[in-house]
Amino acid sequence: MLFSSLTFLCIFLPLLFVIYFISSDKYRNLILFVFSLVFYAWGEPKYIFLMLLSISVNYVLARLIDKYRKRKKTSRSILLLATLFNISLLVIFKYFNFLIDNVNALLNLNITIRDIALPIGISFYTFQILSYVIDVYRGEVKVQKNIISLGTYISLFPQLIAGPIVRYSTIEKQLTHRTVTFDKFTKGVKRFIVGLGKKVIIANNMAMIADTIFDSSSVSEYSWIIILVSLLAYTFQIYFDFSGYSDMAIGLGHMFGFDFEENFNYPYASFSITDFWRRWHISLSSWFRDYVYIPLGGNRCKKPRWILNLFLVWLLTGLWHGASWNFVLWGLYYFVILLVEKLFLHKLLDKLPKLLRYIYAFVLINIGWLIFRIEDINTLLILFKNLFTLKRGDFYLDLAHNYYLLNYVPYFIFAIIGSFPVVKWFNQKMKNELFKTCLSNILLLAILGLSIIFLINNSYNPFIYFRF
Amino acid sequence: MKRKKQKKKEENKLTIVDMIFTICFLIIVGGGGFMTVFRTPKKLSYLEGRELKTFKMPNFKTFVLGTFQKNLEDALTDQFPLSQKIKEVTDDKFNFTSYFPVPKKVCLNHYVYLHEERALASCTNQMVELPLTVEERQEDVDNHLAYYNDFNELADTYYYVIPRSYAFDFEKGVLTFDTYSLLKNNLKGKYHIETLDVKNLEDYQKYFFKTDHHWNNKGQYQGYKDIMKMFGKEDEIRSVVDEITIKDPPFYGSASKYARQLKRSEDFSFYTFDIPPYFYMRDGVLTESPHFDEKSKRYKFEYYYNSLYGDDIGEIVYDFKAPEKENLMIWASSYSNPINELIASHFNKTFIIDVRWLESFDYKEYIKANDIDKILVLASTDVIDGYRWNMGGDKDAV
Repeated sequence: MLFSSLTFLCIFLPLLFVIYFISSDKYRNLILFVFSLVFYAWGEPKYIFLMLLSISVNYVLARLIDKYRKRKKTSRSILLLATLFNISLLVIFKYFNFLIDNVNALLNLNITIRDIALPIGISFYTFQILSYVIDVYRGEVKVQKNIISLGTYISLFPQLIAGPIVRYSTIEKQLTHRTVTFDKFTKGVKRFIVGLGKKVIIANNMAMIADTIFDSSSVSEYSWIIILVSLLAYTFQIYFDFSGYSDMAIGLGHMFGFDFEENFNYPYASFSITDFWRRWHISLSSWFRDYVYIPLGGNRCKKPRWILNLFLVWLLTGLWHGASWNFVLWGLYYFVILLVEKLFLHKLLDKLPKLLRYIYAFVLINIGWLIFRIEDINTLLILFKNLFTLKRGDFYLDLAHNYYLLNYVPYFIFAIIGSFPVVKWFNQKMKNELFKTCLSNILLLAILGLSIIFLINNSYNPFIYFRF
Repeated sequence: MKRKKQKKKEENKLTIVDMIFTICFLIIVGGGGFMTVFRTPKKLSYLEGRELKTFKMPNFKTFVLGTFQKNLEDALTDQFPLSQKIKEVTDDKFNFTSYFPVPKKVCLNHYVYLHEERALASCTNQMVELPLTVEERQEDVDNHLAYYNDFNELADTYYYVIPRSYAFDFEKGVLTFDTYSLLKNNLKGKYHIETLDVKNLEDYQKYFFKTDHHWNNKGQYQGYKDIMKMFGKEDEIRSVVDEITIKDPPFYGSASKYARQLKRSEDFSFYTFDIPPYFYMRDGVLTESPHFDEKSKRYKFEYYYNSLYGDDIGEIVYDFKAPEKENLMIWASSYSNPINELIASHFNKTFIIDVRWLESFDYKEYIKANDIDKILVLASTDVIDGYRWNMGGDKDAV
């Protein structure tokens, strides 16, 4: 089920509100668990069993880790088993087709297998489960003895299919003791509407431009300006799509008494790529930092080892996003930039004016998104060539053939404004709290109304981050 | 103390404002769902010309197959309070480009895409479909040609080609889907063939609506005359009695609706003729033939082409009770609707078959059973390329 669907907004959510808030505290996790399973099963009922299997196995293994805590070797073996189990699920359901394709290509074989469909959100919930099991092993969290509570954590619908990746430690206490105050509920509603607007009003409209151009059979014939505009559209699409989803997840969390960590912090206002990765998909970067980078030795080792650690983290980051070479390339692209920044560029950048640093980061981020968006490497190379050799093409012909895309120009303006902390700035400037609240509430209701209008008028809706 | 009181008072005000906001949110989201499930559903959309989806109770099978989920989302979209009004009011409001003229440098000799599949041809107001080539539809073409070769054997067969806009690339000035040559080069046996004479954008504009994919009254009448000449009935051609033009509400054609370009509309003109009385059977039921009713309430987006010439129907029979004349079968699409009656008036019985709307159709048996002497294949471009006529209904076809 999509947050930005009328089914979610008008049926699922109101029904859950009624049942959740009339029930006593002890049933609330069960209610959330059942509703989360329905939410997950809505699109692909069969994969519910995979999730239940994953919950059950990890529940047992975590309990065993806890039981044999004092026998280091045993608990470590169980942790290894749990890790293998979770990674295997990911490999089978996400990477198996990719692996077979590459083995075929490499060894000139013709192994055929039935295409395995990717279960929605598997990368997100697998990483959450992994963090739980590892944290139990490390003794950083207590083992969860109630399987319903663990199931609630893993399947919790707000963050189930597109993150943020919520660590067990973040909501450990909230799973057993949480309160929903009116203020918190309202805060959640407001945050949810902001996310809905980002997704429905901006991301979906940006997608119209990006998809039309990038999915066109004649994409390699476009002039540089058309490619640039589409690339900018995609840059905004992916941000407003994903951060919109995170906002909705955080907002829904508030409505049911949870506090999830922030996942974005105006990433397009970054002054370097290092800065960008501190602001973009924070829950993923911190996951890789805590569960891969630091255990590998982080930067507290010799330089070659540190470079290898960095390389592995970014290779895995790329692969996490998808089973395709362009994602690997995308991960390695950031590995190179971050390495160069850490080695010497950072010091140089600090001496540059803010505007130049901003332009530097934004250009590199956009190039990254082009690699991310175009799965076919040949097409990607042609697009790079056309973009950087300023291929002229027939500008007016391109414009005429994509004339209706000009309808989306106003959304570009919203996207640019929304990419910077403009609203935050206004918020700080306005002193009259009552006026500010009235104005923001009216605007939020307008955004909700407009989003519903768009949902009624438009069936185009898939979230980009479902794939990951 | 006073300050504290003042602060408390302000906080209370903020709480009230937030309470109103939260209640509004709950009413909007909860009300939408509640009304979809429990309110008596609306059945038809005059705006979109279709049946609206309604809530259906789920069962295990529909849930597992996902049909319940799809239907629920569709039902919510259709039954959400004021959804039709929302669509009507906002339909073209987000088409910001329609508020400005297209710059000449952009439109000159170019297709200006107003939508992914609809464009303006050069700097005119002519909305067209995008060009298609035979190669893209080769399989369909081969399929149709097989039926037509059967027709040639079964009866005296006539082909009349109506090249619709996607047969042309007006940008390059070429005919990309030459149905006339295609038929001429591939049909076997004895047959007659003619085409509406459209060579370029100017010709096209003369014979077709600006905002719709169908031919206008001038095109229809020219087609009728060409067909009568082909039948050898030139001297029987009926003259136009009157031309009626509907200006208000104007005609929003398929292209303007499809591309949500509701600033683009046009007058709708039709000819009247003196036609002798006849019997009219629709799908086997004797009924009243379609006609223009001045008194009928006109809806803002009335699709005159259908309301005046009739909907696409699987089988229509015109019976002029003139046994001395021949029986005709018209292999039809929506293009034939405006001239069905006119052509039928020169025959005894005329059987109009729009096979898209028949579940199954055995043409060999039908031709024999109804003593059909002549077959007219009214071959708008799509009659040769478009529909998968495996003698089964293709309900999605337009």
